[in-house]
Amino acid sequence: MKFALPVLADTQSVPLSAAAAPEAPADEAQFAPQRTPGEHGYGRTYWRSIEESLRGPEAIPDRGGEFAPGELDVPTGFQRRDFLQLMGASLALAGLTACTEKPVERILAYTRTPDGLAPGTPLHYATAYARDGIGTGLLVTAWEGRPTKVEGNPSHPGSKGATGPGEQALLLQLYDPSRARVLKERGAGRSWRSFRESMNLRASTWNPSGGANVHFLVEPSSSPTVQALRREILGRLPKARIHAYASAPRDNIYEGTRWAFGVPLEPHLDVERADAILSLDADFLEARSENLPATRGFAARRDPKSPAGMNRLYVVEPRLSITGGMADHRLRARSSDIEGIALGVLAQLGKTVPALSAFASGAGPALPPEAARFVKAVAKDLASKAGRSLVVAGERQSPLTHAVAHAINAGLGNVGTTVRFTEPVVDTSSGPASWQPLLEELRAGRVDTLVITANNPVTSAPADAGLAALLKKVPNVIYWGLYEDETGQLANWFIPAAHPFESWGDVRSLDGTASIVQPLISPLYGGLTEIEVLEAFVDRGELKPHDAVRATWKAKGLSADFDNAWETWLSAGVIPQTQSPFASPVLRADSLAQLAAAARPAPAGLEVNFVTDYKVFDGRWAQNAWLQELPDPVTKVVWDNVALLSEATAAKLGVKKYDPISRKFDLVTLSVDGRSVEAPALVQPGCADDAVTIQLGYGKQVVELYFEADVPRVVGFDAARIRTAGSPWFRTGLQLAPTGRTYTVVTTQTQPTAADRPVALMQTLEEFRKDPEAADHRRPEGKLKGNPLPTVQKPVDYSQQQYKWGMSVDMSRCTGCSACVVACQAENNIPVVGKEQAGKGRVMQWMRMDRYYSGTVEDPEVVNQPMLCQHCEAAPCEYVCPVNATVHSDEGLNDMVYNRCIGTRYCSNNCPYKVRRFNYLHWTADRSQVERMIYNPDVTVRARGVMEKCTYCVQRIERARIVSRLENRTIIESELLTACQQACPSNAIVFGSLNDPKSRVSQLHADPRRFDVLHELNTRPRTAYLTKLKNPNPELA
Amino acid sequence: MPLFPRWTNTVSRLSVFLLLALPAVAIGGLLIIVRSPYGTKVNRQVVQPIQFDHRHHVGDEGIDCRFCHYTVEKSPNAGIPSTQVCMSCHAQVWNKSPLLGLVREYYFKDRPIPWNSVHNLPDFVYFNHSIHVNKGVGCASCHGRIDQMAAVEQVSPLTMSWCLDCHRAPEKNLRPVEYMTSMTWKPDPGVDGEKLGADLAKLYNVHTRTSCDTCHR
Repeated sequence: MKFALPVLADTQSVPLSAAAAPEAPADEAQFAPQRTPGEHGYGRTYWRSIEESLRGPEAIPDRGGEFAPGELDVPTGFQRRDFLQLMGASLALAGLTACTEKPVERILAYTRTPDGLAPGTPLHYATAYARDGIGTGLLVTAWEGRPTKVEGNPSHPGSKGATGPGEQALLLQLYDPSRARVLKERGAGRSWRSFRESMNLRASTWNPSGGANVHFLVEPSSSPTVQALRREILGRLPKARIHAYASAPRDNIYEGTRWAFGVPLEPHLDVERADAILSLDADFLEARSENLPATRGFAARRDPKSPAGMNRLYVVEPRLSITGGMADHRLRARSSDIEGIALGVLAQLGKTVPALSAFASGAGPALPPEAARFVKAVAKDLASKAGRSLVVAGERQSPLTHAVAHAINAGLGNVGTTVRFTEPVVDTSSGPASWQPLLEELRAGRVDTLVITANNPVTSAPADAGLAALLKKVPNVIYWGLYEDETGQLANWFIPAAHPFESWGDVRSLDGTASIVQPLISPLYGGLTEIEVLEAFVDRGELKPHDAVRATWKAKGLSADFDNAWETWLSAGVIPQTQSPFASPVLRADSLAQLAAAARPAPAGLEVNFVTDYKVFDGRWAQNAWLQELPDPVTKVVWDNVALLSEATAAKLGVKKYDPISRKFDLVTLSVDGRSVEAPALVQPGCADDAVTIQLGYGKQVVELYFEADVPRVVGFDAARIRTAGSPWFRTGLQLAPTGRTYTVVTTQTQPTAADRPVALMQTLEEFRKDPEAADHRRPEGKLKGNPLPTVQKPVDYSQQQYKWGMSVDMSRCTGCSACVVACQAENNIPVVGKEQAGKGRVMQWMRMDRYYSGTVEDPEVVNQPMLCQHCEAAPCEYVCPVNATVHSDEGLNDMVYNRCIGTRYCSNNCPYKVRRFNYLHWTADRSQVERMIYNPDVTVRARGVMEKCTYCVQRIERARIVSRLENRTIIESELLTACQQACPSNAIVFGSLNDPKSRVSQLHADPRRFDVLHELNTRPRTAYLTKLKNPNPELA
Repeated sequence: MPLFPRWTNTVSRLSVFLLLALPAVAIGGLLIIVRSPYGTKVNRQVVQPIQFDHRHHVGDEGIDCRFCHYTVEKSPNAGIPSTQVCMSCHAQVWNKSPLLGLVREYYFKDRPIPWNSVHNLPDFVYFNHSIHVNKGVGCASCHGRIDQMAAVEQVSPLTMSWCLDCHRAPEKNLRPVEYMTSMTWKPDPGVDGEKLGADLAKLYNVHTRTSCDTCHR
């Protein structure tokens, strides 16, 4: 007997379009005609980690399959056999659960429903947050009085609707159970009343001397109420001293304007009007409070469609920063050499620009040939765009560098167009110059009372200040802080602080615009505000912070009808007409020329650079797990800081590159002036030779509430231990020696690799103009039309649906700041997993900020690509799910149905974009009542064993849909923003309906730069990417 | 004499049958139980801490549902009324009644009344009252004759198939929105209910969806 196998259905027999005759499937080369083997498109090759670049893809550990090493580890303490036994028993008993009664749920209604509140509908409140006095306007979403999401306030000039990761993560800090709860005197609980009484008694020792023995160490503040209180304190105690303290002081900015114009001024960049920008170690695209408007402006000019054309960015910096990643030309230089480069540009301009002729002779130090070439080309470019160019110096750079930048801007007529100046709103001196006098008084033992409201100065100040030892000698130290940290432990009185979302207050943004800070919730842990603490030192009755702020603003007489105006200010989040007027400063060219001529080249040798950490800043957010687990935009390191150095420097000093399989990094000793600290060394592409960069803000005891036991553990190493007050930002004379030991650093960098596929694409503007359709071959309607790869899925016609959701990501705009990642985490109740689990590849963030390098290790070019669920129309995840837990919606969303998911992980296996996240452990178990308050009630909290991924914020779609359908209209584009889109400071992410030809997303999907990632797999993704464009200077090419 | 007597055939058939039937019955039985009135908890009066009688308030006094559940038209939650809503009448009416002692106590102590929930959806289901009532689904369509309930009970099973039945064919359950809170509305005699429903669906632009993300996020 003869058997015949049944003929399998031909998968190609499903016609993909009426015209498509069954043709032989094309191979990948046909889809990427411009690609030669080993090349990823447009003549570029991309790599993700230094190993890949140096040793080829073989250097990447072969994971032998789908999941990262350790990802599939079974939790320890449980044997497989026991597990199966228990499973069997629980399955057998599971049926019995149907026999029990579900517990009755309680509904606790309000006694009096607050005005305007409808249960189930969130309210949005405008408030503001100040970091070191710099205000950012925020809109906070609150559900029945419970804040769950932070967004930027579009009408606030310091935010323009954007936020950085820091602002997004404020929520986690609000609900942090490790925050301080008890007012203490030497460790014993006390009441606020007893603190006030104690201060009143103590006042008798201050008054005779006019308060000469009373000092305040305060955070820089722009708050009119706090400033009024400071004046009141000085009125009562005329000899008391108030020292502003910031561990990341902006002194050099104000000192620079003083050198250039004679008065300290606040520079405001109008980046959108600049055609050419030179950044002198200025990371002005870092998503921080002070940078958000600049990022908006910069991104607007990275679009070739911008009416003013694309801008060009030159960056000089010692390490690869976010801004450096966006540069068209980047010069690596030690921080100490940047002053010389700035002077070189000035001298070069002095030769051609009459207004700068005074500087023509002061050439500054001789430059190496590469830098000289750079300087010449930059000077020429800046001069050719006079009035439309911009030179920015970073806060780490010397006052002279700042003054030089101002001189160039003034000489080229940029002042008033691309850069403008106002009176500073924050303390202009908050660095060592501000608090060194206090140290002298402390050393002399002349301080009786020291009030500290600045953030943990004991650990955040340079080590040579020796504050810890000095504080022990002061009889009466009062510390006000969110955490009972190192400073708190040394203080006699510790006062728990109220979180900004629990406080009344006021702040000003850098341009002067004032906002009222209004509380979203009453203090969870009984914290007090800075206003209340300072009031204890004023000899008058107690005013509640709310009344104090109202009194401040009533006294200003801005409005005849104050009560009405107050309500308007609260709801809008800004107080109108409070911007500072622009100053018209005059450059003091002669005195500056003298200073420039006196500049001396920096000594050679190894240089140490201190930078504020992008995530935890100066350590104030070290306890914030969302930020700790955010991969650094450049290094992709989580839960650690590292010493960054270039490959050549590493080779010279004998530092080995790390072993990508074990993730062991060489531990090195960094010593300066006899002080030393141990740190893991990371060879980072794009670092200047002889410059080692370390991030501040680590080396702190962090309560790891998120994994293992809730025990404090030190995260990272404390760079402040080798920082000196004399040179808080950089200095030569660093000694670096490997210890011979290694340390495990977790990076998310070599986890899912691109596997030699063209995923993120970059072109130059010229290449793009020559062939605008170049990216076209990477999308279905392009040159491939009629000849896509076959798919088993029948195409669905979505054109008749009311909406066809789609997204576009403009990689030309994306800076990689990762604000979207944290925004998504907050919106979608995404858990944190901790360092150990992150090392196993179990990070849960739905968005992954992929960073690709191209070019050489010394001078890499960077492409950032936010990678999230692509919502493929022919989704490979869907047809492998055995339980239909991931299916398509009628509008083309790739839905994930948690309650159906049984955790086979087939979908993740079959996803070519690797955007699905699996709950290997029950991350959300054991959360306390307070921690659970952070959850967005519109999104299911997932349990162990469930797959999850980006939903395109389906909860926002459904809410917007219902609102619009109640009003019998369609959804307006501006009322539906995904969380990532809303947070994005550069407007790189656009979401909307592709069925509306007028929607921005439709237009971007039709953009010539558009391409679909891994299009050759014919997944037909709904998320389209726009190629990154660079605008290089032909003279430097 | 065969090795196995004939009756062993019956035994073996029976055991094969039982081997297949027992799990089927067990699983099927469980599925039936959770869908039965016992499992869905319909028609079971829920005792509340305060004996609030809808028969009196809705039936006798004719108070509109929205007088107390006033967010039903604009919010996902119909809203359990705050104690202040109770007191807005009962500060004047029956303000000395011992039956209302607890209400006054909770009100003046500013403590929430711990009402027992009657309609419980699983946490992964997102239901929105406002869209339903604005598109012509009456209160009574799902909640039944509240005006006849001494203690409120659930009358609909609230299972997914029950939701889908209506989402697939909403016409049967639509009524003019002006009769939304009516407990007794029926199409006028002689009017074809199905036809009316279809007309209303068109008029209100009813657009029911059955994609998973309609209710699960």
